[in-house]
Amino acid sequence: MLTAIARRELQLQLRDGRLVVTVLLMLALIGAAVAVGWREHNEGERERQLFAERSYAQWLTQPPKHPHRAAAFGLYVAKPESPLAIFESGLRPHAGRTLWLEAHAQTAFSYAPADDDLAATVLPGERSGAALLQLLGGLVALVLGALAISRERETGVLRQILAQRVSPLRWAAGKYLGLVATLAIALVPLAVVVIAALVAITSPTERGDVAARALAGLFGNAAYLLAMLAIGMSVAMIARSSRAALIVALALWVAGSLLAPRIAAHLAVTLAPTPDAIAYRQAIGAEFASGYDGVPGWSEQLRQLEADTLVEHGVPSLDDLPIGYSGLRMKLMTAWTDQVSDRHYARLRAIYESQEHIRMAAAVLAPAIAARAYSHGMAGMDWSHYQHFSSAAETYRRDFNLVMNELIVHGTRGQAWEMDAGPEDWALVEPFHYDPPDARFALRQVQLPAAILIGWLALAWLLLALTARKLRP
Amino acid sequence: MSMTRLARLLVQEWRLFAANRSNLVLLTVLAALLGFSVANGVGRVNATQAAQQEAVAAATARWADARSQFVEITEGRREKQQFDDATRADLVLMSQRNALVLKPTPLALLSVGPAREGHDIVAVGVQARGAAGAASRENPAIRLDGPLDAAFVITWLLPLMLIVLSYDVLSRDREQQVAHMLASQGVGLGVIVLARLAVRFVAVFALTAGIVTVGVALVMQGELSRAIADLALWLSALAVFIAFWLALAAGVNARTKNSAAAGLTLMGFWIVISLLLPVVASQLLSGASAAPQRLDSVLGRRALDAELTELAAEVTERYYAENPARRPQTPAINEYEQYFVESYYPRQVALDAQFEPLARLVAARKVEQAERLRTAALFSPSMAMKMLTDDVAGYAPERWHRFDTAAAEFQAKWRAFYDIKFASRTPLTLDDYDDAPRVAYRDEHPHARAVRNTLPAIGLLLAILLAALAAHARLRRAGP
Repeated sequence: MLTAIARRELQLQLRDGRLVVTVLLMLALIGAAVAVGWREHNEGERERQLFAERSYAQWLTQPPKHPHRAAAFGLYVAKPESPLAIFESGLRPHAGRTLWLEAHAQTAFSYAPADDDLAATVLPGERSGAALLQLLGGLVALVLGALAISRERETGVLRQILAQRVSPLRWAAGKYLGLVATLAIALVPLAVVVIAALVAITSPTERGDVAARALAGLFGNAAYLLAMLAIGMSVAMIARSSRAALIVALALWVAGSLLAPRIAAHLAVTLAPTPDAIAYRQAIGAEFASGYDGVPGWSEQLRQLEADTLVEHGVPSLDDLPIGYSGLRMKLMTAWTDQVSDRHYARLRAIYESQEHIRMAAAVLAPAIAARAYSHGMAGMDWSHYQHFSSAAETYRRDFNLVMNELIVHGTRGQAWEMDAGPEDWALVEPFHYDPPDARFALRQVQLPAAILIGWLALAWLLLALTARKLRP
Repeated sequence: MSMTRLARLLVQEWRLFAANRSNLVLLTVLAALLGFSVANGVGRVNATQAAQQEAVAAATARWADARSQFVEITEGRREKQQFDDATRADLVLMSQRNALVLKPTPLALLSVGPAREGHDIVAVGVQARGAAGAASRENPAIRLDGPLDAAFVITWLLPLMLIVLSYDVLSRDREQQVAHMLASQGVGLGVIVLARLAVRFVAVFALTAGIVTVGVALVMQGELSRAIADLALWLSALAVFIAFWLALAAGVNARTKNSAAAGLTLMGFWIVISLLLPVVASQLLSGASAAPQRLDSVLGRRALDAELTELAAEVTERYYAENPARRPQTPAINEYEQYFVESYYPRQVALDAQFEPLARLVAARKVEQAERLRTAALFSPSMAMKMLTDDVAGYAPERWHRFDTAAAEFQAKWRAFYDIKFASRTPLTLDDYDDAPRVAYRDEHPHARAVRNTLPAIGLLLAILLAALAAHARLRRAGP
């Protein structure tokens, strides 16, 4: 009987012209978004490679200059993206993907596309395929679920069915399966095409990872849509009229998909405010000068370095040193700056984590937030992936800074500063190499949103079962 | 129909509207959301103004401090130090950075816009100029979620509330089978619907306009006339925007007998107008008029930098050959100072001059994209409202480009005034301190914003005209 009810529901839905048009429209939009994403990803990757090559070439072909000035000129590196970014652009519009690695400090990601792209501001959300699927797919699932029950009630079919002593739970389960099949007919071909295309353009070594991430992403989005479908049906079972059911379903969608992410973001920055750029810089500067927790500040450390160096080399004055004191000073300054910066960066990361916890707490009430976070994570476009890249780039920055400072130590004498290093010295710095994390890393990062999504799906099914039991014509 | 009867009808409809608790709940929700977003906007604008004032005060204080040290030195009350000598142009000017600020517009509280923190404060001196917030530490995940600003509430949520307030403006009477009775009262159904919509228009417009006007009054600094001009432009657009959605509801109600169908149809319109058209426009424009790629300009700037560094000695010599008065008259204090004055500075001047066309190209592409978006806004009232709101809030690329040009001009003026002294290490005089070029940036006139938004405004007017005509035609034919 379950199959019969599901089959009937599927036939009803497929005969509904409005649904077909709506779904086709949605698919066209998502398809267009994927096409745009494809172009943006390809251009982005081409530019990234070009950028990495040119930036490194510019590094190698620097004219003779002081090593510190070469380090200040620095290098640019760009985060590589998984082909999944075609479907899910994640944080890219607002994070950028470029890091400038230079002598003085760890920099933030720069050149975020949204800073320059006014076209992104005319939308209430993102325009990637995944964002549209979650936004419009969630709406379609809610409305589909609500209308499927309301229609049966208003046409009197529900009364007839209940009069035939059909179990309401079984009837609801059958309808749910029919609606799931309807959504599947609409969305599975899209998923197959997207995944096949992704796998086809991926190098054989990365293919398994991309496929695993894509499948996991598919399950996450499916869980969200299935939960929305069950909620839509539950609402219609409680509501007395189709009007009420529709209004509640739409209100849930607006509140959950449009309002909740913004309210959660607002709460996050209110409860865990991010320091502004100037305050962040000033705090590092102040701690650099005065020290912290008993560790002396810069002047004291410099005095100690001077005394230690004189003792170590057994000379009466810094001018008599057989090596470059300015290089030793730069090494100490760099190490001390990094030490202070690490503390502040750790605080900043803790603030971001607090903000993420607040957003995930809001996701308990609005699953759209969890669906987005999960999708970003599986596509490798969430903050943890950006952080992974940023850490690798920072290690590289410190290494090349050390190489440059060693050149000063060995290229100058006494207190002299000026010296020139040349192309053979620049070549001591190897090109930046980065191995992106695999799908297991992504799965570890998205445990919380995944748990919230599963919780919502279970809750939605439970709600559907409970409302179905108390179903009245 | 006489004016008296119309007035009586309006009063009657107002009472009915006010007696409906769900309408009041909805208006309360709207007031709460808008009040919250406007209050945040007020806080944001106040913080921006405070940060800007702080930056300007710090730069002014630094200059005044140097001047008073100069006076103390010349009067013999202070000793010159090697690195602390207010008579040395190279030392004073190397560290002096003037703060140029782009003050928030009177309606800046309406939108967070696409700007990042600190981009409205530009530090200008003899060296390179740059934005205070260039190394922003904002969490991209928070930025991605989007701000809960008034622009969001008005562009996307207000139409939904208007739909809920008016989706059954006539269809409910049909469902309750009282439409026949209404039609027999001697007043046309069209007039009744018009009166009902007028009541809703007044309630929503007064509430929205009131909250925003109070917010504007709270943050207003400067000329009242400019604030009034911006507010008048935006309120006119808001009135048309509200009227459009109400006219749409009237048109749909005239045709539909069932409230649920009317609600669903209006929701469909909302999805098409507020979501689909902007998404399509955004996707098309991202292809046809791609966002300017600043990575190109970064690489370009670095290539220029490398090239000029390779030719550093030649660049310096060319600079002195073209500007003989700028050749140093006194020796450098040390290697650092020598590097900055004799090598870095001439290169920086050359770099700025050569990079200028590339920077202008990026700015021009941003303006071009904005113009195309305004054209696209002809087809979506929501897009038009968002573009217009962002513009009066001060985020049009034209305004930023104007500010950036003014910053470049000020820097040129500053350099023209000081770089002889800086480069030649000529001692400063008191007149040099007192006659320093003053920052006097005056923001664009609101008229410029109005002209720029002609197309979105036409789009809004066309939309209301079409919706009103359709509603009128249908209501004339509509029966009970």
